[in-house]
Amino acid sequence: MVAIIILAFFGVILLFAGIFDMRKSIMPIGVLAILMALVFTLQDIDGLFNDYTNMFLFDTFARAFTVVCLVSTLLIFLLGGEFLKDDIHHKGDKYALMLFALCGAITMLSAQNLLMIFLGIEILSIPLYILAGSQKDDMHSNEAGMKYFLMGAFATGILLFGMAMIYGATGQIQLSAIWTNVIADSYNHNLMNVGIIMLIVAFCFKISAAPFHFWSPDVYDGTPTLFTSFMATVVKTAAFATFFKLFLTCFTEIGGQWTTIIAVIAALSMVLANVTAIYQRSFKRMMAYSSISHAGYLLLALISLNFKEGQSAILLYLAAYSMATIAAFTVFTMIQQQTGRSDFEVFNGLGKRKRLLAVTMTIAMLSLAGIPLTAGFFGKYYLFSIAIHQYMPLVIIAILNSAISIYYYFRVIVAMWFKESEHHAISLETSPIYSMVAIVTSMAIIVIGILPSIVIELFW
Amino acid sequence: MGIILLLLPLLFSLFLFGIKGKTAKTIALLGSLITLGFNLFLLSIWKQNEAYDFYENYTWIHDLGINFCIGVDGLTMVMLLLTNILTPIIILSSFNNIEKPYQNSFYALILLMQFGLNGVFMSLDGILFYMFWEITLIPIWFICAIWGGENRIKVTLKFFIYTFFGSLFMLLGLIYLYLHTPDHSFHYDALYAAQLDGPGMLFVYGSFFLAFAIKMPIFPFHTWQPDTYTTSPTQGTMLLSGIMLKMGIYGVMRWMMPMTPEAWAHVGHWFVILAIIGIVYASLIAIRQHNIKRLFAYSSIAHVGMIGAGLFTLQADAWQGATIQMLAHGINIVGLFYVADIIEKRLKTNDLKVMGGIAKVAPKLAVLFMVIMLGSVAVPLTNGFPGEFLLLKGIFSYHPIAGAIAGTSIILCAVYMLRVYQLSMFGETNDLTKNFEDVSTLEFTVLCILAIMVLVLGFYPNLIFEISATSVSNILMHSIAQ
Repeated sequence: MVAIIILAFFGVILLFAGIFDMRKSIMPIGVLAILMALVFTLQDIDGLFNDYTNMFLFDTFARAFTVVCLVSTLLIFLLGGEFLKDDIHHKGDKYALMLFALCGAITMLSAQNLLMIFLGIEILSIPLYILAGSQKDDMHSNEAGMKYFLMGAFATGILLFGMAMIYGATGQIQLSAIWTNVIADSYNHNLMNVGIIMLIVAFCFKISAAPFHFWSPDVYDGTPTLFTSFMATVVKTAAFATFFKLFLTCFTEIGGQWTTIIAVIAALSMVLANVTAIYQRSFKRMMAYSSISHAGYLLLALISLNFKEGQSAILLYLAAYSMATIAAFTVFTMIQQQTGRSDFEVFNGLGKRKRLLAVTMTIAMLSLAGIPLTAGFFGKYYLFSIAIHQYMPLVIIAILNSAISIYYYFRVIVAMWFKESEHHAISLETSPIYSMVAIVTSMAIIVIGILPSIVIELFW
Repeated sequence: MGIILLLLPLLFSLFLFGIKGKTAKTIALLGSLITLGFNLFLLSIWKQNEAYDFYENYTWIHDLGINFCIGVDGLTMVMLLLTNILTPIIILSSFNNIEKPYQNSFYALILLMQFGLNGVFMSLDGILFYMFWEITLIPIWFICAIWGGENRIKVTLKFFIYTFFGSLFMLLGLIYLYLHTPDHSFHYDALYAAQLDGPGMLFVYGSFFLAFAIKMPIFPFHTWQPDTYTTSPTQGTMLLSGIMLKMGIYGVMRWMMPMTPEAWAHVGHWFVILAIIGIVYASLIAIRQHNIKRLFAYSSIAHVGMIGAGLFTLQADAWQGATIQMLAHGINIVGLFYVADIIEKRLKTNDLKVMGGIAKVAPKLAVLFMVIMLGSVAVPLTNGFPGEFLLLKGIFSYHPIAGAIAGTSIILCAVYMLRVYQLSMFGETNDLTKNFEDVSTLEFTVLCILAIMVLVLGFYPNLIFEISATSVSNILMHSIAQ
């Protein structure tokens, strides 16, 4: 709770910073806010404010995923110092909006009640609609903002409808109370089924799982890259963890009724996204499809119907995925800013021109592909090993897809190391902040890849 | 002690990534020779226990039952010798190459590969084995894709995805085994003690087979191999064919067969059939090849198919033969590809049709090529003979018809190998070959070392049997269902 208060408070301060001509200090203030929130979350100093009348419980589950969100945002903020340096008028607003979105994420993660989940999702989403369309002079950004908003509004409507159905079926909005009703079998079955399906639809929209993923490539592509990385990491982490918590707290006992649906969605997400990603020409769109396919892998944790092992699995997976995504976007942002392009050819010959960037990107791609000694491997390992009992065919589909995904992740590596630079390639300049983020993320990927237990033992 | 064998190449590799200049190859050679020296030292103090020597076991990830556990038994020792003897030879063979860009990375990647290979052969923990297995893939991919020939990116990506696909199935099999272990551990003995039901057992058996069959490769999983061998730089091909494919054979012996002995009765026979089809198929294709590298690539499929067929028959003779044949094949194929490389460098072509008469202008090359070629044909008193003989004996006692068909490979091998020799070395010199220079001192040294090993192992195969026989028959005993 203290984390939310700090973030909201500093968010408001940043809004004013724009007025009082404090542009230089905006990024440091944002970073300070996150660091403070991080300290309070890790130390669990706020024992007093942890539990709010069954609405809000900042337990270890919430803490763990909050830390992932905070660390991701911290790195994105650091990148922002360079990315937004020419933005004179709205720099403070953008940082503030990300902080508010983060408040929404933490609210979702610690919600114990359907209404709080809904509130959290809204607080998370509304700033993002604005951020997606924040580059007002760019058509693609406008398109992204509009698309995201329209689709998101529909999804929210469906979510609320689904929650109403659940309430209608059980007479409860408290997660634990719903669970009690479910195991006592005292609920209206038809309403419950419709409600669950609606919740699945809404959440699959938020985590961009197929067939509710159509918005994401356009939105990822159009959104300014800094906010794309925010969407791909923080939003995904918060939305997926909440999805996981909601379903495995309330509906584990009637898992038979909905795991098949999730299994189909997972298989679809993996296959569609991986096959489509092969044909992409833009790096950002490729990353969008990669994010869809990772949503598909993550859904394996839901199917396992095992809260205890599932939470470790998704924590590790999301941490690994976030680090790799931020590492990749760090390199990409830098290249895109200086060349203005986002196709794969801009990576040609990067290995010879900028070793550090190329190595970072290579590590990120290897991790996303799940090669051992990177974090992504243990992420996949955990997911496969918890799902192998229930849904062997699905795990085999996941494996086939991992092999396919090599093709497009390695395209970047191939371009960087095995192809010659274009003749008119501009010489790239690396700013120290970018290099720092690149080093930090690649170190994190390797360390988690060698000792995955440190992430999990931090919390459980 | 065993861990030093991992650390040495790794440290040298990391060091090489950092330096610039022409000293890289000397340092690489030095590093690999030190590793070889240490390996020979281990051999000299090796006590040959029933269990593993140089055994080390550290907890790595406690929750998941993953340990950093390595050990050396007879089979492993042979594999380590193969790796650590061939690596310096491969490095030495690259000394006459034209200076390439990023020379230091090239040697660093070779040593990284050596690190991974040593790890694969020493691992006694499922996940550790899997990790090393994958680690070897990254450097070889970079070696082939950066320094390879025409079409290299497409070919190497196919190779990578193909093998990665197989190894993911192995991972799945390992996880499945792990979940059925009594004490939830990936340790070799724990996995070995896992109790599986019928379908589960077949699943594990099949998933291991997929990984190892792609790596070896066994028909019909071989389609990546000829292109990759032809496109890769010679040192890459040597690493792939000389050492890396032995990972697959080693995997079958150490991991696949003993883990699920009951499964053999259900599907093992099919694997023998596949392997035998591969032998004949690859031999017939090899006879029709004009590209010398491609021909050697297909000959490798045929030889490995023979080893595979022998292993899947579960005959004691075949298993002993397979062990020495792994070593012999490694030496021979490295020699053959080196000869192909020497010829290609001088003539700028791989085409057998335009060659001829090289023996007249380059007698030293002709003699050394002859020795290595005869080793590959498995003529008595060369290193190929004891292995092939035992393998065939095993396959015969398993089933005479299988033995008869597999036996044709000896004849077919003689046909295509002698054809290469005849077309390239004999006949009249032509405009292309009349100025063919004989081997340089360096090339002579490398080929001589290989030729001596061909003859020594041919005269005295017991050198290897003394090391490996006991532990191979131990593993085999575990692999036969009671």
